Amino acid sequence: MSDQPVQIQIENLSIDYGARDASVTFRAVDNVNLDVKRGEFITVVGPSGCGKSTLLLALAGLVDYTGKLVIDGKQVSGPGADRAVVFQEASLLPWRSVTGNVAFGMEMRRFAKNEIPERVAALVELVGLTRFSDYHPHQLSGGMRQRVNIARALAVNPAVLLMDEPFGALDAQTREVMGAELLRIWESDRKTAVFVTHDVDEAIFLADRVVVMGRDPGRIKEVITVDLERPRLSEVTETAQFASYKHRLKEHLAADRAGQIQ
Amino acid sequence: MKGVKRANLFAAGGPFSGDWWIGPLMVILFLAVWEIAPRLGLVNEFFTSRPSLLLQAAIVDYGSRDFWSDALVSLVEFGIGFGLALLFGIPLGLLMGSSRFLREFFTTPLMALYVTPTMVLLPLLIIWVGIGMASRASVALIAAIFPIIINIVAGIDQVEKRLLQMAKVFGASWLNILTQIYIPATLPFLLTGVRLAIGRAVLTVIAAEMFVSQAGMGFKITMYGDSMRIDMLLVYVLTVSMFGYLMTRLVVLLEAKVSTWKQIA
Repeated sequence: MSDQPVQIQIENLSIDYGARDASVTFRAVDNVNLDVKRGEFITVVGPSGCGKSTLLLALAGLVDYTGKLVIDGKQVSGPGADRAVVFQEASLLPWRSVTGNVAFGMEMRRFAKNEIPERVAALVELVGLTRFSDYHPHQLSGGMRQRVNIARALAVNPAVLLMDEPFGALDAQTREVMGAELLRIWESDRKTAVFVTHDVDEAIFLADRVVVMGRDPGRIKEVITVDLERPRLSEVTETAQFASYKHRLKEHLAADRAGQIQ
Repeated sequence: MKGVKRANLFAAGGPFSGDWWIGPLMVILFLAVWEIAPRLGLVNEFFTSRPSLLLQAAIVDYGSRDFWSDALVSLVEFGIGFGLALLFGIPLGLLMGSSRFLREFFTTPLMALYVTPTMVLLPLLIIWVGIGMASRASVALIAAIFPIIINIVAGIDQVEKRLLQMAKVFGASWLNILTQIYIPATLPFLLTGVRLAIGRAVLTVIAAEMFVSQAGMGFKITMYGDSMRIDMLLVYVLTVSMFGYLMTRLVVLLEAKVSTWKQIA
């Protein structure tokens, strides 16, 4: 991983939310610095209100920020063809089938019309939904909807894949399965990925590096490199190494909770 | 796939679900009482007429050119008023729904006009466009356009913000968002508006004809009322009802077809 060039540069990044008249502002993200290498899988973990989702929205080009936020040499100034987002809620179009939803991003980004059906079918297969390709979202389970969500994002072949707690609304078991599935899919071409979660196990299991954020104000407290072999299987969560990472992360989060009580 | 769609029509709440016979039963009972009561002398036939007399009158009416020329006059007035309501109402609703400014700008006059009985505008419209078909068509237009606009705005309101955010991330243009999100999401609401608009347009056309007209279904209804021809009067009334009912039914079928995805139990 270390031989790869830096793809995302974040320097002194701050994000303020506020009323339109700016008399009351709230600092959601304060002075964040981070470099992400090409092909790296970054997870961002922290308590609610630490600005982790806001940071991701800034990467997606959906919120204003101050500081430096550069992807492949270009300052981020809005959504771009180099990025795709997997949202927490599947945000599928209810009147489109699985196939239609996976095609949506490609249609918006004006992929060649003859190229779309083949690529969509390949991605629907990759996420294991071929049998359900004509189903509509209301006929799918939560996990299946998130598979569609992931396929739609991958279909546009983004340089950077951004994921905002994509499994946050799923039950624990489905969540574990989806995590393993995501890694399997990701292994096939190892795109640069930024994945926001509040689940410590998920954060370690997926990541090359875990970014730990704290709150008041939202900032990076530590970046932990996860030295677990890839490809990873869910058994890795049973190892002593995994447990020690987990212990370290939990200490951070416990400290945050203690701060909150005061 | 076809089989699945047909099955939906018979599903609970569908038009042919298990209770389909209750509606017709009511109609048949009503017709029977209506036929028998005057024959037994329980009510005065002069005031109520009877279904069999109605049938005779209908045969005479439907065979006459007069009836069809009146029907055509009303149909054209309805068609123009309702058609223009769709033509202007849909884009206006979409604009108002997607622009905060336009919505705030138009809401008060729109709401005021919506709750005003449209017929009170008839004298004004007659001054503006004359007592011809144009006055009846325009009063129908005004009556029909509000439910269309209001339902489209409501439809756009319920479009989830996260869908818009998602579309933006994938680089959707304003036009993409309109055609790929707002219009499909609003279609079921538009159809509800259309259903209400049909009823209002039929009502105003007939009522306007009853006030100012020398032709049309409403004119004939007043005429036969004045001459105490209950049988003829009711033939016209029932024809209007059937027309409204069939149009509404058509929209209901369309609604069921369009909004299968809305059944997110």
